[in-house]
Amino acid sequence: MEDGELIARVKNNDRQAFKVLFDTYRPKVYKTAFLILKDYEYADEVVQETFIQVFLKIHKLTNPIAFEKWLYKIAVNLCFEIIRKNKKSKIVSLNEENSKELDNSTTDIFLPDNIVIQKEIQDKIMKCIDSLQVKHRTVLILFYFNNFSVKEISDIVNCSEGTVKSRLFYGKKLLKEDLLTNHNDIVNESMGGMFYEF
Amino acid sequence: MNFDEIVQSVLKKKTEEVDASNDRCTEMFNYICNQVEEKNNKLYKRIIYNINMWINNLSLKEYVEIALFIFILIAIPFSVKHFKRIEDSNSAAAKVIPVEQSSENANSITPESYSFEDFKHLYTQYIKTAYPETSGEVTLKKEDVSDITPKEVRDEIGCQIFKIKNNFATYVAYKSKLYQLGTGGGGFGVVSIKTCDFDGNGQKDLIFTFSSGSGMHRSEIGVFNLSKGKGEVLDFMQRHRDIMLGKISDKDFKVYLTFIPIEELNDFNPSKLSKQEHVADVHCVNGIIKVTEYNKEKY
Repeated sequence: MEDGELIARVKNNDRQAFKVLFDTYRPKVYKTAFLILKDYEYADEVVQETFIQVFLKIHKLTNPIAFEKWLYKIAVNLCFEIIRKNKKSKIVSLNEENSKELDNSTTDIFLPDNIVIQKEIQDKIMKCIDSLQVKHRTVLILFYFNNFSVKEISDIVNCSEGTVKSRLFYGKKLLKEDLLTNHNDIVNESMGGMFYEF
Repeated sequence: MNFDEIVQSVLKKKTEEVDASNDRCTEMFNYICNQVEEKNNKLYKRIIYNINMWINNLSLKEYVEIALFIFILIAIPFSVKHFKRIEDSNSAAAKVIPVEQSSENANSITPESYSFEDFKHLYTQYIKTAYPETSGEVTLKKEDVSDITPKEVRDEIGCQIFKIKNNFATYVAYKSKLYQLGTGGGGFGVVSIKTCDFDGNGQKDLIFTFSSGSGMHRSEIGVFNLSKGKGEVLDFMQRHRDIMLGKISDKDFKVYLTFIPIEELNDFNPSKLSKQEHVADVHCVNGIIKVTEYNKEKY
């Protein structure tokens, strides 16, 4: 069943259709919230609150095609709200236990051209992404992880396309600079200087 | 490999381990549904509270003015006929509209066969009788009507059940009479139909589930006594979901949640519905029909 039909049924208070929407989008929303907030519990909270708002406000959604964008807009706003409540992201950090758990389970990843990026550099890149300001990190995540276009991101984070482009550029620049400045040795060893391509 | 691909891969890898908590999915979903209901209730209560506060602060003069205003707005346009119509449609599960008198034996189970033209004729008579203020003109086409008679009903009673596609109103044609099954507007009309014999007179009757409500979707259970030509709605209501019946005996039925795909609304086959959670039982003891509900808090 397509989203349009599901949304029509959810508007009619059909819980089963809502469950289908929930099952489809929950993992994506959860992962996005986790990447922005770096905390499992907050990500859970965002998922819950997002879908509560979806169910309560879905009758306001006139264009079902825009559902996914609308869903992420709610989720991202909730992430921002949590960050604001928690002293502008200072408390939001991946807790140690989870971090270790992730580290232990992390193995080499296989990239499209079968080049293996070592675990060390993955961690460094992730640390660099995590160290970015929330507004830059969010735009990077929506662009790279969720594959939204600049126009869609501008709708989601409620700013102009120019601002999104600038944040994207700035985020990428910071990321590259940080990697090349602080982890140049690792980058060179692991990637054979591939970062210099850009 | 370029920078974009590397960042994409790192982010993907980072989240691969994250979503292992699928076992909490149902729990979370139920929590969300409960929260939604709670918030809806809170909103409703807040509106009522604000209205109460507003009413409490009114002076006597304002009371009189508002009462007069409401009276002019609502009371006058309501004609006696209109009241009667609403009362009729809400008071019984089925309307009895005799079209032609029949002298056949009530216990006969010879299957009757109504063509679309027969149904249209009975339906026209029905509309003329039920709504005399209208012209009674019916513009039904053959493709607007479905015959949803289950085999069991056809074999054991011999009646024929028709459903009008655009409004899901459902009618049973029996011994040249037409009766409407179910009440209210909206919803999907009759969803599931079984034969029953709660009064033990040997004449099989109909038990059916039907849904109504264009805002809040409600499903209820109706019983239609063919020998008396009267129906009743049982004391059970399932909000938001559709329900279907499972037959144990002529006096015992199980009620399950079910799901009707939206694309099959106009042509769904009641006998192909699939059972989901068991939410109630219908029993008849000493001629009294009782409904026992389960998982009421859950659903």
